[in-house]
Amino acid sequence: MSDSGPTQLKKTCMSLVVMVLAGVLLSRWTAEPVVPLVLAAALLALAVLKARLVVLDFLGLRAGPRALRIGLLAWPVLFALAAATKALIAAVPLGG
Amino acid sequence: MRHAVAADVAGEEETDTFILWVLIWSELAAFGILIGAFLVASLIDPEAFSVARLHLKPAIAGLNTLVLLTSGWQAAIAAGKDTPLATRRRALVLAALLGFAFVAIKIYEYDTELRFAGEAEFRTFFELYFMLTGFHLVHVAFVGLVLLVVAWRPRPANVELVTTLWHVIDLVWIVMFPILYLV
Repeated sequence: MSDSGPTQLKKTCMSLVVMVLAGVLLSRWTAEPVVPLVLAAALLALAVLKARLVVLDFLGLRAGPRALRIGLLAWPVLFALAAATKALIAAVPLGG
Repeated sequence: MRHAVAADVAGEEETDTFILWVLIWSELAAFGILIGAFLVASLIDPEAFSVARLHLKPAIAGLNTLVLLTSGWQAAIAAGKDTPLATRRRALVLAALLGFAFVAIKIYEYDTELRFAGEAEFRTFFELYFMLTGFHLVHVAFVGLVLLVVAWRPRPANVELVTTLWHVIDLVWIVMFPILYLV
């Protein structure tokens, strides 16, 4: 059960909405099909922040079991890092 | 005797929670494998993936993200410890309806993308894209129905189980969205 009160949940929802809108606006920053590296990092960081709010406030794990909280927070971080690495490799061609 | 019954109920709830988290982690592993496959495939053929991505509709997907997160907000209200029964029921129904709105918007989005899926050079991209988003979509539709069933008789334990699953579906979409559409 979520320990966050209705006011906190509303604030969390508003923060999430702002982050989604920021992400969509950021993604339109460039007309290029390949998003520049910094932009990619910013978009992935936003995704991790959104996931963090869902885990801590919506799932109510702020005061929940530590291992579960860390595991659930690590899952989006893992894929954000993998996507950032992929963007980095794509931006810097390897080999001759 | 009463203590024994209470202990049995507590034990049952603990088992339910354990099974729920086993289910959730197996779902996260399954989605993780698909997301990983998408990332590897996009590394193998970056050009085709970049061009194929231009046929997607990130604005519609962004709208869908808002719909799903608002639904998650309602689910969190429903799961609140002190939420009155009527509010809990209403929040569960709203969460389910927003989930169905997500499904409807996604089907509309598919309709705009399907015509490009048959092109040979985009085949890998669209196969993985439809597999990932389709698998997620089935989860949204199914758990949306379960939310409605639970709203009919909102026992706290069931509300906790279904809303936890709903938030994890949110979490998966939050991670998928930038990887599929933006980065």
